[in-house]
Amino acid sequence: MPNDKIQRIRDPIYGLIAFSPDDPVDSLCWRLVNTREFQRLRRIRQLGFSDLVYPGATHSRLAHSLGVFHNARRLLRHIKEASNHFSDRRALVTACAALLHDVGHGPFSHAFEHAVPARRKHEHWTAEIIRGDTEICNVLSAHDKELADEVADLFLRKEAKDIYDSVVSSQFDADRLDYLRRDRYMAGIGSGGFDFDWLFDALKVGKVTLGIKDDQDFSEVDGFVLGEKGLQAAESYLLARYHLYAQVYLHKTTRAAEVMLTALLTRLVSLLRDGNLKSTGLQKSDVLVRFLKSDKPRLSDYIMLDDAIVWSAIARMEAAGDGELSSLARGLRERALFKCFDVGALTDREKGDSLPRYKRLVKERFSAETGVPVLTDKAKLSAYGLYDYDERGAFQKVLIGRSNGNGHDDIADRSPIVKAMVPREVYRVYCADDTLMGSLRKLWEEVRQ
Amino acid sequence: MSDPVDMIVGIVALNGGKLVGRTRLQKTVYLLDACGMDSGLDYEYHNFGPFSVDVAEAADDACLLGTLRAEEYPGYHEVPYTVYTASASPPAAVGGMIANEAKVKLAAMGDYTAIELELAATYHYLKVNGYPANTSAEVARRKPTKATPDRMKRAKRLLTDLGLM
Repeated sequence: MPNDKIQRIRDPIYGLIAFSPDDPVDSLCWRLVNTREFQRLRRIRQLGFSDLVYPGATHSRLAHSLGVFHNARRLLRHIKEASNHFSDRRALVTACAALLHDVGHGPFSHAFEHAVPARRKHEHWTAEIIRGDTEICNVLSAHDKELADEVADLFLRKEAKDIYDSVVSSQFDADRLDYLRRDRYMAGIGSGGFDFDWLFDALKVGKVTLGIKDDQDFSEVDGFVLGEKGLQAAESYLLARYHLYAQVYLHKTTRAAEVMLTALLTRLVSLLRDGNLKSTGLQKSDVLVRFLKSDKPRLSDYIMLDDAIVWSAIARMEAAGDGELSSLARGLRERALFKCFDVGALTDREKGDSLPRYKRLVKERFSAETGVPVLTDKAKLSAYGLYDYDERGAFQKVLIGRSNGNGHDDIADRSPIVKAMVPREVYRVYCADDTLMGSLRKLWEEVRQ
Repeated sequence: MSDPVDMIVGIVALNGGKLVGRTRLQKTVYLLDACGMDSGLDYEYHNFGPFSVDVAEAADDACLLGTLRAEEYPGYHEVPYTVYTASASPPAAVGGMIANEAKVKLAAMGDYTAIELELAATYHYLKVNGYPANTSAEVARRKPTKATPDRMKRAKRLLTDLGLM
């Protein structure tokens, strides 16, 4: 495609996303959009199985990635306007990274990641695609030799060290700013909104403290800080994340399909490793078979995988000789999903301190080893997502400027709402039949007594 | 596989009944696993090196069960840190590792900072997960602010002390 005119993409969230041929960043990124690895993202749904609950949620990772790029450009403009030493080079790397941040996602994302033997997170594949034998790497290298490595490093480092990195990875990054709006819109849910324009209007660049524990090695760097007028918008932004997780990403029905896909792929891997290809309904030449059998899967195979390949394999596994595989495949195809006992959703009063004991007993009594397979789903639902770590650097915080213009505070110290939002543990058990579900509920009653 | 809750409590008990920091807990369990504790827990690479959701969950569960106590304190620059304490008697073994061996390894780790543990765990993880050559360079690429030459030297010394290098 000629690269000498403005390329415009219609987008349901932003209206128009344009790539100008006169802008070196736009021009390079447009060439990246047209690589086969980026175009593969058309065939990977952003929300995996969420359309089982929200039929409209069928948007692709490609649409999301374009939105992230759009937001990244906007954030970079903020940096340029506020900084005396803006780096065109860092901006170029950041824009490329924003556009390519999901290029390593596999089909059905996390459910797939958890089942494959050589467990690699999608960020790892992203880095491999960017610096491997790919069209993306060719485009970046044609621009200049070091660019592919610089973009890939950003994903491997996974640690924001300055304001440019924070555009790609922070509490207020281009990715989250897009998916919260896009996923809500496409799922059609009413809650989970936030004032996007006001939030951007309140955005400033200020000095923030980056720290390394132990050595008490702290340094001041530029970072995004919200003006005081952005406090309520920031609260809504964090609440939006909480609501999206509760209602969409961790929906118990969506998660039922995810745990079933993980179980199906785990079973498939086990059969393939035992040399039982015949009982899977698949062929040796299938790329999914080749990928799952290998301890060191090839990048060229990974790039071939998408949702369509997996759904096609699931259709054929429905006729598999292996009963477990066939039954899981049928369940996914017909939306006959496992039943769920959502223990984590019980009130604190109902749960008391019984949950850890229940989890332990479920593990002891209901597992593949005891011949009574039960699938579990565990997650943490948190509005102001923090890892279980001591460190919380400036880029993991939402910072609110003080009215006197002197410094800023963590939003948790300014907002009683945010402070009150304690993380909630998600713990569910899933199984195929009513009798087993009855046993699981009975066990809970026993533990509670 | 041993119960992860018992194992975490056991590790804290063998460490003199106290272990300071969530980072230290994560890296301690990882490095004990690398030394043959055989916990069966899964680790994934995060920006802070290998991390196990199972370890974090087990620590939380142990606190709910009352076998572990976690107290949070404000640290330097208000970065909070957690102190874990366990009053249970030290177990005879943690996972597949007898208590005496675990104590020796824990004592060795006690001489190093949490960052050095993190660098050591990251080095080991990358070495056995796709980066057998030029591992130090890979650690430096991923942790440009933490992987100073002095810290890397000490991280490698820790791995040597633990018999992992």
